[in-house]
Amino acid sequence: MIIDAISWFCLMLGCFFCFSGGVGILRFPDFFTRMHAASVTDSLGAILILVGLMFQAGLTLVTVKLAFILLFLLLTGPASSHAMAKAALHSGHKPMNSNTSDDAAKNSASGGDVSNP
Amino acid sequence: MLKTISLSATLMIFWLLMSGIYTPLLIGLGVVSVAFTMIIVHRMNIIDQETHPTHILLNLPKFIVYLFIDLVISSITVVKLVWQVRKPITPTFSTYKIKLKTDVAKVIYANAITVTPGTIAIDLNGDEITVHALVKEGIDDLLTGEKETKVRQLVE
Amino acid sequence: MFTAAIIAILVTMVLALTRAILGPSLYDRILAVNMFGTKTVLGIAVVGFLMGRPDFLDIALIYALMNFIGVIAILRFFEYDPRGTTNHDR
Repeated sequence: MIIDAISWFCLMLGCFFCFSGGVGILRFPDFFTRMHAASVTDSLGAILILVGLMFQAGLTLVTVKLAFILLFLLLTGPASSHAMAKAALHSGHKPMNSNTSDDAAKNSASGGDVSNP
Repeated sequence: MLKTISLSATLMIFWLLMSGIYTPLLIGLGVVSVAFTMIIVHRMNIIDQETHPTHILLNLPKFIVYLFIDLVISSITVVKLVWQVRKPITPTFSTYKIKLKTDVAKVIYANAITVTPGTIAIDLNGDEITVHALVKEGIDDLLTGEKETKVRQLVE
Repeated sequence: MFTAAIIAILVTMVLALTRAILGPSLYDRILAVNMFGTKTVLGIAVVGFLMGRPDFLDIALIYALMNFIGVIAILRFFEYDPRGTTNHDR
Protein backbone atom coordinates (compact mmCIF):
# COMPACT_ATOMS: atom_id res chain seq x y z
CA MET A 1 0.00 0.00 0.00
CA ILE A 2 2.75 2.43 0.98
CA ILE A 3 4.86 1.20 -1.93
CA ASP A 4 1.89 1.85 -4.21
CA ALA A 5 1.63 5.40 -2.90
CA ILE A 6 5.35 6.03 -3.41
CA SER A 7 5.07 4.61 -6.92
CA TRP A 8 2.19 6.90 -7.89
CA PHE A 9 3.96 9.88 -6.33
CA CYS A 10 7.08 9.17 -8.44
CA LEU A 11 5.02 8.66 -11.61
CA MET A 12 3.03 11.86 -11.20
CA LEU A 13 6.10 13.91 -10.29
CA GLY A 14 7.91 12.46 -13.32
CA CYS A 15 4.96 13.41 -15.54
CA PHE A 16 5.06 16.93 -14.12
CA PHE A 17 8.78 17.25 -14.91
CA CYS A 18 8.21 15.90 -18.44
CA PHE A 19 5.38 18.36 -19.00
CA SER A 20 7.50 21.25 -17.67
CA GLY A 21 10.24 20.30 -20.12
CA GLY A 22 7.67 20.27 -22.91
CA VAL A 23 6.49 23.74 -21.96
CA GLY A 24 10.10 24.90 -21.69
CA ILE A 25 10.98 23.67 -25.16
CA LEU A 26 8.18 25.86 -26.52
CA ARG A 27 8.81 28.86 -24.29
CA PHE A 28 12.56 29.36 -24.30
CA PRO A 29 13.93 31.79 -26.88
CA ASP A 30 16.78 30.03 -28.68
CA PHE A 31 18.15 26.60 -29.54
CA PHE A 32 20.71 26.29 -26.75
CA THR A 33 18.27 27.28 -24.02
CA ARG A 34 15.65 24.90 -25.41
CA MET A 35 18.22 22.16 -25.10
CA HIS A 36 18.32 22.69 -21.32
CA ALA A 37 14.55 22.25 -21.15
CA ALA A 38 14.74 19.00 -23.12
CA SER A 39 17.50 17.86 -20.79
CA VAL A 40 15.11 18.04 -17.79
CA THR A 41 12.67 15.62 -19.37
CA ASP A 42 15.48 13.31 -20.44
CA SER A 43 17.05 13.08 -17.00
CA LEU A 44 14.79 13.65 -14.01
CA GLY A 45 11.51 12.97 -15.84
CA ALA A 46 12.73 9.62 -17.15
CA ILE A 47 14.30 8.68 -13.79
CA LEU A 48 11.11 9.39 -11.83
CA ILE A 49 8.75 7.63 -14.27
CA LEU A 50 10.93 4.52 -14.54
CA VAL A 51 11.53 4.39 -10.76
CA GLY A 52 7.77 4.66 -10.27
CA LEU A 53 7.28 1.70 -12.61
CA MET A 54 10.02 -0.22 -10.76
CA PHE A 55 8.09 0.18 -7.49
CA GLN A 56 5.05 -1.27 -9.28
CA ALA A 57 6.98 -4.25 -10.59
CA GLY A 58 8.66 -5.25 -7.33
CA LEU A 59 11.82 -7.35 -7.28
CA THR A 60 11.56 -9.20 -10.60
CA LEU A 61 13.35 -9.31 -13.94
CA VAL A 62 11.00 -6.53 -15.06
CA THR A 63 12.72 -4.19 -12.60
CA VAL A 64 16.08 -5.18 -14.05
CA LYS A 65 14.86 -4.38 -17.54
CA LEU A 66 13.56 -0.99 -16.38
CA ALA A 67 16.94 -0.33 -14.76
CA PHE A 68 18.67 -1.13 -18.06
CA ILE A 69 16.32 1.20 -19.97
CA LEU A 70 17.16 3.93 -17.45
CA LEU A 71 20.89 3.22 -17.75
CA PHE A 72 20.79 3.43 -21.55
CA LEU A 73 18.72 6.61 -21.50
CA LEU A 74 21.14 8.25 -19.07
CA LEU A 75 24.18 7.16 -21.11
CA THR A 76 22.81 8.11 -24.53
CA GLY A 77 21.09 11.35 -23.46
CA PRO A 78 24.22 13.40 -22.79
CA ALA A 79 25.94 11.95 -25.85
CA SER A 80 23.19 13.04 -28.23
CA SER A 81 22.80 16.43 -26.47
CA HIS A 82 26.51 17.06 -26.85
CA ALA A 83 26.47 15.97 -30.50
CA MET A 84 23.54 18.28 -31.21
CA ALA A 85 25.12 21.28 -29.47
CA LYS A 86 28.43 20.75 -31.22
CA ALA A 87 26.86 20.29 -34.65
CA ALA A 88 24.74 23.41 -34.15
CA LEU A 89 27.75 25.45 -33.07
CA HIS A 90 29.90 24.24 -35.96
CA SER A 91 27.27 25.06 -38.54
CA GLY A 92 27.33 28.69 -37.35
CA HIS A 93 24.43 28.65 -34.91
CA LYS A 94 25.50 31.42 -32.53
CA PRO A 95 24.23 31.22 -28.95
CA MET A 96 22.25 34.10 -27.54
CA ASN A 97 24.08 36.61 -25.37
CA SER A 98 22.90 37.13 -21.83
CA ASN A 99 22.65 40.90 -22.22
CA THR A 100 20.09 40.52 -25.01
CA SER A 101 18.05 37.99 -23.10
CA ASP A 102 15.60 40.58 -21.77
CA ASP A 103 14.13 41.60 -25.11
CA ALA A 104 14.40 38.08 -26.49
CA ALA A 105 12.42 36.71 -23.56
CA LYS A 106 9.51 38.95 -24.54
CA ASN A 107 9.01 37.39 -27.95
CA SER A 108 9.85 33.91 -26.72
CA ALA A 109 6.28 32.74 -27.33
CA SER A 110 6.76 33.25 -31.05
CA GLY A 111 10.06 31.37 -30.95
CA GLY A 112 12.34 34.42 -31.15
CA ASP A 113 14.74 34.10 -34.06
CA VAL A 114 18.31 34.45 -32.89
CA SER A 115 19.94 32.20 -35.45
CA ASN A 116 21.45 35.11 -37.36
CA PRO A 117 24.03 36.89 -35.21
CA MET B 1 43.30 -11.23 -19.78
CA LEU B 2 41.51 -10.25 -16.59
CA LYS B 3 39.63 -7.56 -18.50
CA THR B 4 38.61 -10.10 -21.17
CA ILE B 5 37.15 -12.38 -18.50
CA SER B 6 35.31 -9.56 -16.75
CA LEU B 7 33.89 -8.25 -20.04
CA SER B 8 32.60 -11.67 -21.09
CA ALA B 9 31.13 -12.23 -17.62
CA THR B 10 29.35 -8.86 -17.85
CA LEU B 11 27.95 -9.71 -21.28
CA MET B 12 26.81 -13.16 -20.12
CA ILE B 13 25.05 -11.69 -17.06
CA PHE B 14 23.41 -9.13 -19.35
CA TRP B 15 22.16 -11.93 -21.63
CA LEU B 16 20.78 -13.94 -18.70
CA LEU B 17 18.97 -10.92 -17.22
CA MET B 18 17.48 -9.90 -20.55
CA SER B 19 16.34 -13.35 -21.65
CA GLY B 20 14.60 -14.58 -18.48
CA ILE B 21 14.09 -18.05 -20.03
CA TYR B 22 16.65 -20.55 -18.78
CA THR B 23 16.56 -23.53 -21.13
CA PRO B 24 19.78 -25.13 -22.44
CA LEU B 25 19.09 -23.91 -25.97
CA LEU B 26 18.76 -20.22 -25.03
CA ILE B 27 21.71 -20.26 -22.65
CA GLY B 28 23.73 -21.98 -25.38
CA LEU B 29 22.76 -19.27 -27.86
CA GLY B 30 23.89 -16.72 -25.26
CA VAL B 31 27.28 -18.39 -24.92
CA VAL B 32 27.68 -18.38 -28.71
CA SER B 33 26.75 -14.68 -28.91
CA VAL B 34 29.19 -13.72 -26.15
CA ALA B 35 31.96 -15.75 -27.80
CA PHE B 36 31.27 -14.08 -31.17
CA THR B 37 31.34 -10.64 -29.54
CA MET B 38 34.64 -11.43 -27.81
CA ILE B 39 36.17 -12.54 -31.14
CA ILE B 40 35.14 -9.23 -32.73
CA VAL B 41 36.46 -7.27 -29.74
CA HIS B 42 39.79 -9.11 -29.95
CA ARG B 43 40.10 -8.42 -33.66
CA MET B 44 39.42 -4.73 -32.98
CA ASN B 45 41.94 -4.83 -30.13
CA ILE B 46 40.04 -2.32 -27.99
CA ILE B 47 40.13 -3.85 -24.53
CA ASP B 48 42.21 -1.53 -22.37
CA GLN B 49 41.99 0.87 -19.46
CA GLU B 50 39.95 3.27 -21.54
CA THR B 51 37.19 1.09 -22.96
CA HIS B 52 36.80 -1.11 -19.91
CA PRO B 53 37.57 1.09 -16.88
CA THR B 54 37.15 -1.40 -14.05
CA HIS B 55 39.25 0.72 -11.70
CA ILE B 56 36.48 3.25 -11.14
CA LEU B 57 33.91 0.69 -9.94
CA LEU B 58 34.85 1.03 -6.27
CA ASN B 59 34.17 4.76 -6.05
CA LEU B 60 31.21 4.71 -8.45
CA PRO B 61 28.27 4.51 -5.94
CA LYS B 62 29.44 7.61 -4.07
CA PHE B 63 29.79 9.54 -7.33
CA ILE B 64 26.34 8.42 -8.54
CA VAL B 65 24.75 9.64 -5.29
CA TYR B 66 26.52 13.00 -5.63
CA LEU B 67 25.49 13.29 -9.28
CA PHE B 68 21.88 12.37 -8.51
CA ILE B 69 21.56 15.04 -5.81
CA ASP B 70 23.12 17.58 -8.16
CA LEU B 71 20.73 16.48 -10.92
CA VAL B 72 17.65 16.91 -8.74
CA ILE B 73 18.71 20.37 -7.55
CA SER B 74 19.49 21.66 -11.03
CA SER B 75 16.31 20.11 -12.49
CA ILE B 76 14.24 21.99 -9.94
CA THR B 77 16.10 25.19 -10.82
CA VAL B 78 15.36 24.77 -14.53
CA VAL B 79 11.70 23.86 -13.94
CA LYS B 80 11.32 26.97 -11.80
CA LEU B 81 12.75 29.05 -14.65
CA VAL B 82 10.28 27.43 -17.06
CA TRP B 83 7.25 28.39 -15.00
CA GLN B 84 8.39 31.82 -13.76
CA VAL B 85 7.43 34.04 -16.66
CA ARG B 86 8.78 37.22 -15.09
CA LYS B 87 12.27 36.01 -14.23
CA PRO B 88 14.60 36.50 -17.22
CA ILE B 89 17.06 33.77 -18.11
CA THR B 90 20.71 34.65 -18.60
CA PRO B 91 22.22 32.18 -21.10
CA THR B 92 25.98 32.17 -20.68
CA PHE B 93 28.66 30.69 -22.85
CA SER B 94 32.11 30.26 -21.41
CA THR B 95 35.40 28.47 -21.96
CA TYR B 96 37.65 27.56 -19.07
CA LYS B 97 40.58 25.30 -18.26
CA ILE B 98 40.26 22.01 -16.37
CA LYS B 99 43.04 20.24 -14.51
CA LEU B 100 41.95 16.63 -15.17
CA LYS B 101 44.68 14.56 -16.83
CA THR B 102 43.31 11.40 -18.44
CA ASP B 103 40.80 11.16 -21.28
CA VAL B 104 38.47 8.98 -19.20
CA ALA B 105 38.32 11.65 -16.48
CA LYS B 106 37.65 14.41 -19.01
CA VAL B 107 34.86 12.48 -20.70
CA ILE B 108 33.23 11.61 -17.37
CA TYR B 109 33.45 15.27 -16.36
CA ALA B 110 31.91 16.51 -19.62
CA ASN B 111 29.12 13.94 -19.45
CA ALA B 112 28.44 14.81 -15.81
CA ILE B 113 28.06 18.45 -16.87
CA THR B 114 25.74 17.57 -19.75
CA VAL B 115 23.52 15.17 -17.80
CA THR B 116 22.67 17.81 -15.21
CA PRO B 117 20.00 20.11 -16.66
CA GLY B 118 21.01 23.74 -17.00
CA THR B 119 24.55 23.13 -18.22
CA ILE B 120 25.81 21.55 -21.44
CA ALA B 121 29.43 20.79 -22.31
CA ILE B 122 29.76 21.72 -25.98
CA ASP B 123 33.43 21.31 -26.78
CA LEU B 124 36.42 19.63 -25.19
CA ASN B 125 39.75 20.66 -26.64
CA GLY B 126 42.89 19.58 -24.82
CA ASP B 127 42.37 20.95 -21.33
CA GLU B 128 39.85 23.61 -22.35
CA ILE B 129 36.15 22.93 -22.00
CA THR B 130 33.34 25.04 -23.47
CA VAL B 131 30.12 25.08 -21.46
CA HIS B 132 26.75 26.64 -22.15
CA ALA B 133 24.62 27.40 -19.08
CA LEU B 134 20.99 28.45 -18.87
CA VAL B 135 21.67 30.89 -16.02
CA LYS B 136 24.94 32.52 -15.09
CA GLU B 137 24.93 30.81 -11.67
CA GLY B 138 25.42 27.47 -13.44
CA ILE B 139 28.82 28.55 -14.74
CA ASP B 140 29.76 30.05 -11.36
CA ASP B 141 28.97 26.72 -9.68
CA LEU B 142 31.18 24.85 -12.13
CA LEU B 143 34.04 27.31 -11.67
CA THR B 144 34.18 26.51 -7.95
CA GLY B 145 35.57 23.15 -9.10
CA GLU B 146 33.50 20.91 -6.84
CA LYS B 147 32.46 18.61 -9.68
CA GLU B 148 36.03 18.41 -10.92
CA THR B 149 37.20 17.30 -7.46
CA LYS B 150 34.52 14.61 -7.35
CA VAL B 151 35.54 13.28 -10.77
CA ARG B 152 39.19 13.23 -9.69
CA GLN B 153 38.24 11.27 -6.57
CA LEU B 154 36.30 8.84 -8.78
CA VAL B 155 39.06 8.15 -11.26
CA GLU B 156 42.14 8.18 -9.03
CA MET C 1 -3.63 5.97 -12.91
CA PHE C 2 -1.35 4.59 -15.62
CA THR C 3 -3.79 6.27 -17.99
CA ALA C 4 -3.01 9.65 -16.38
CA ALA C 5 0.71 9.06 -16.85
CA ILE C 6 0.16 8.12 -20.51
CA ILE C 7 -1.93 11.25 -21.08
CA ALA C 8 0.80 13.42 -19.54
CA ILE C 9 3.44 11.77 -21.73
CA LEU C 10 1.25 12.20 -24.83
CA VAL C 11 0.73 15.90 -24.03
CA THR C 12 4.51 16.30 -23.73
CA MET C 13 4.91 14.56 -27.09
CA VAL C 14 2.42 16.98 -28.64
CA LEU C 15 4.41 19.93 -27.22
CA ALA C 16 7.63 18.47 -28.68
CA LEU C 17 5.94 17.96 -32.05
CA THR C 18 4.74 21.56 -31.98
CA ARG C 19 8.34 22.68 -31.60
CA ALA C 20 9.39 20.32 -34.38
CA ILE C 21 6.83 21.90 -36.69
CA LEU C 22 7.55 25.50 -35.63
CA GLY C 23 11.30 25.15 -36.07
CA PRO C 24 12.73 27.71 -36.72
CA SER C 25 16.09 26.06 -37.38
CA LEU C 26 16.98 22.51 -38.35
CA TYR C 27 18.58 21.82 -34.98
CA ASP C 28 15.43 22.81 -33.08
CA ARG C 29 13.61 20.17 -35.08
CA ILE C 30 16.24 17.50 -34.38
CA LEU C 31 16.12 18.38 -30.67
CA ALA C 32 12.34 18.09 -30.62
CA VAL C 33 12.41 14.76 -32.46
CA ASN C 34 15.02 13.42 -30.02
CA MET C 35 12.81 14.43 -27.10
CA PHE C 36 9.82 12.85 -28.84
CA GLY C 37 11.78 9.61 -29.11
CA THR C 38 12.69 9.61 -25.40
CA LYS C 39 9.05 10.18 -24.51
CA THR C 40 8.09 7.29 -26.81
CA VAL C 41 10.38 4.99 -24.81
CA LEU C 42 8.71 6.05 -21.55
CA GLY C 43 5.28 5.77 -23.20
CA ILE C 44 5.91 2.20 -24.39
CA ALA C 45 7.08 1.22 -20.88
CA VAL C 46 3.97 2.67 -19.23
CA VAL C 47 1.65 1.12 -21.87
CA GLY C 48 3.26 -2.25 -21.14
CA PHE C 49 2.31 -1.86 -17.48
CA LEU C 50 -1.20 -0.63 -18.34
CA MET C 51 -1.91 -3.68 -20.47
CA GLY C 52 -0.14 -6.03 -18.07
CA ARG C 53 2.38 -7.13 -20.68
CA PRO C 54 5.95 -6.52 -19.47
CA ASP C 55 7.26 -7.87 -22.81
CA PHE C 56 6.80 -4.32 -24.10
CA LEU C 57 9.90 -3.35 -22.10
CA ASP C 58 12.12 -5.14 -24.64
CA ILE C 59 10.66 -2.93 -27.36
CA ALA C 60 11.28 0.14 -25.20
CA LEU C 61 14.90 -0.92 -24.69
CA ILE C 62 15.48 -1.38 -28.41
CA TYR C 63 13.71 1.90 -29.16
CA ALA C 64 15.98 3.77 -26.73
CA LEU C 65 19.07 2.55 -28.57
CA MET C 66 17.59 3.06 -32.05
CA ASN C 67 16.53 6.60 -31.18
CA PHE C 68 20.09 7.44 -30.13
CA ILE C 69 21.64 5.93 -33.25
CA GLY C 70 19.08 7.68 -35.44
CA VAL C 71 19.79 11.10 -33.95
CA ILE C 72 23.55 10.61 -34.26
CA ALA C 73 23.12 9.52 -37.90
CA ILE C 74 21.04 12.60 -38.74
CA LEU C 75 23.58 14.85 -37.03
CA ARG C 76 26.48 13.24 -38.93
CA PHE C 77 24.53 13.97 -42.09
CA PHE C 78 23.93 17.65 -41.30
CA GLU C 79 27.04 18.70 -39.37
CA TYR C 80 28.88 21.57 -41.07
CA ASP C 81 25.84 22.07 -43.28
CA PRO C 82 25.01 25.79 -43.60
CA ARG C 83 21.36 24.95 -44.21
CA GLY C 84 20.94 24.44 -40.46
CA THR C 85 21.04 28.15 -39.76
CA THR C 86 18.44 29.34 -42.26
CA ASN C 87 14.81 29.65 -41.33
CA HIS C 88 13.54 28.08 -44.51
CA ASP C 89 15.33 24.79 -44.51
CA ARG C 90 14.05 22.40 -47.10
